[in-house]
Amino acid sequence: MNLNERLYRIRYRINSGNPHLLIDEGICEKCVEKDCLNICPVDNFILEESHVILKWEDCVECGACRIACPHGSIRWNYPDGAYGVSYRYG
Amino acid sequence: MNHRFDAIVVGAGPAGSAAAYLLARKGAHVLCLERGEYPGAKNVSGGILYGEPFHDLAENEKEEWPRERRIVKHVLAMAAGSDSTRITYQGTGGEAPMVFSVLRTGFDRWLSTRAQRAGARILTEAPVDEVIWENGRAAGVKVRRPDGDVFAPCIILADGANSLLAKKVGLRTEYKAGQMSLAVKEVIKLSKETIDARFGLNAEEGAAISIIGEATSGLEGGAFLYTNRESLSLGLVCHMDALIREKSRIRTLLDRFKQIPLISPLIQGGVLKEYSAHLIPTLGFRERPKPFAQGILAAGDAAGFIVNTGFQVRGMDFALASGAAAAETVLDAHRKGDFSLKAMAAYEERLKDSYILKDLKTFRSMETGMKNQALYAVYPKVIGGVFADLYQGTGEPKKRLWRLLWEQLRSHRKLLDVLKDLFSLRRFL
Repeated sequence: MNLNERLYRIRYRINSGNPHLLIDEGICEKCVEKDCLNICPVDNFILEESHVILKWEDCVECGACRIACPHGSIRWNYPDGAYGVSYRYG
Repeated sequence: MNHRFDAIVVGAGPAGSAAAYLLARKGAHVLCLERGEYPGAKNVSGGILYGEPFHDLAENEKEEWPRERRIVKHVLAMAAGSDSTRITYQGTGGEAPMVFSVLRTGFDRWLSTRAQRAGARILTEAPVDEVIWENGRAAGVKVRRPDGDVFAPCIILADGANSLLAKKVGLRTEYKAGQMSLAVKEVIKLSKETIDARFGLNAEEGAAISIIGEATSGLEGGAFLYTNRESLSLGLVCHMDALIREKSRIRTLLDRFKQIPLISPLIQGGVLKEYSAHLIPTLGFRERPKPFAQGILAAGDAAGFIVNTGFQVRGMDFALASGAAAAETVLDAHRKGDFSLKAMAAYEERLKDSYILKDLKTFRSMETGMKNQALYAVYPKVIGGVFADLYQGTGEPKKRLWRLLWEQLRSHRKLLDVLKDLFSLRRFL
């Protein structure tokens, strides 16, 4: 199933311009493993011309990337109150 | 608002709401903080609750609490290729076990409302960033809001699998990939009648299917398919280190899982309502965080109270029970006016006396055994192979059962490894 078909079913409130997670591009530049690309269940990390790009808007706040990253490059916090994902079934 | 409370609970999931409910019912002035838009907004479970949510449910509440179905049929399946071998346990009518499927948004909202009706103050849209310390003990928390400092002599951390606060206050170090499982889930809508017919169920009855082997494409972990009233909960739980090792994407594995012949006819025609993902601490007994500090108690997923055996992931009942144990400890501390580390340590004793830590201990070697990749990649094939030979009409004379098993074992696994597996199985059971 296409990822977008899955994402369309998730309710989000995006806190524009205020990402709740950040990557350290200096660390990512030197990273060989790039485990973030595969571990994220909603493909928030993509490779563009060998650079890791983070598009955090679809984040479901699972926290897997933070634990998977072997270099501690991901700064991960909770979004502000009521922002981010709001599950309707759970 | 008044900024002083008898206790502050961080998180309005099962652990937090159970604690807030009990505290409020005993007359404590309690604040429960939830970062989501509503309780349950950030929460996901596969969806099986073992036992009723509270022992003191009133008769009308026994009818109204938002369970989906009462699980009377448990299926364990091993899948290999397009084959599967299953064991089914079906409970008898009147004596059916108290096991229920739930959807967390409705369930968590109900729990939180119950706490609120008992007198707890619930504040949503309120993420907590820090614990406030005074004289070496926790004295309050910083809510990410203007004028957001709130104070209490006791803080209950019920902030879930990721519990950033548990790490900040030193109850644990950062998790490693080997200590976590990643779970994804789909809620798939189907009519009640279709579900009843496909799973062979009557009225409010439900079924729970757990699958290992092909389900996770041979990776350490398991898959599940549970019946709700008018939907199915389908998902995968994979050890994070296995996903990283194999460079696998869990949603690709989920797609593959939905295609296996055991599953595809059951979900056919269903409409996807929601896709979700969540972490499950897979720590075992020894690596779990410390559950208390000066003025702090941790409950539920935040304290690592999970049993994850691949076939079964249990956490919600531990969350409810540990939330209750934390509340009792706080009430006791208030009665004695003693919030010292020793008073908080009484929580650990309560946990040891309860089934929570007893179960975690009982299942610890099983969890170690379940890290053996052969259980997922090899043995479903071996067992499937034995049955395939047994039931196939080949025109050849049949071999004895032990001979079949032996040949299957030898064709899939080295003898030394089989012996090692048997040795680990000894601890496993």
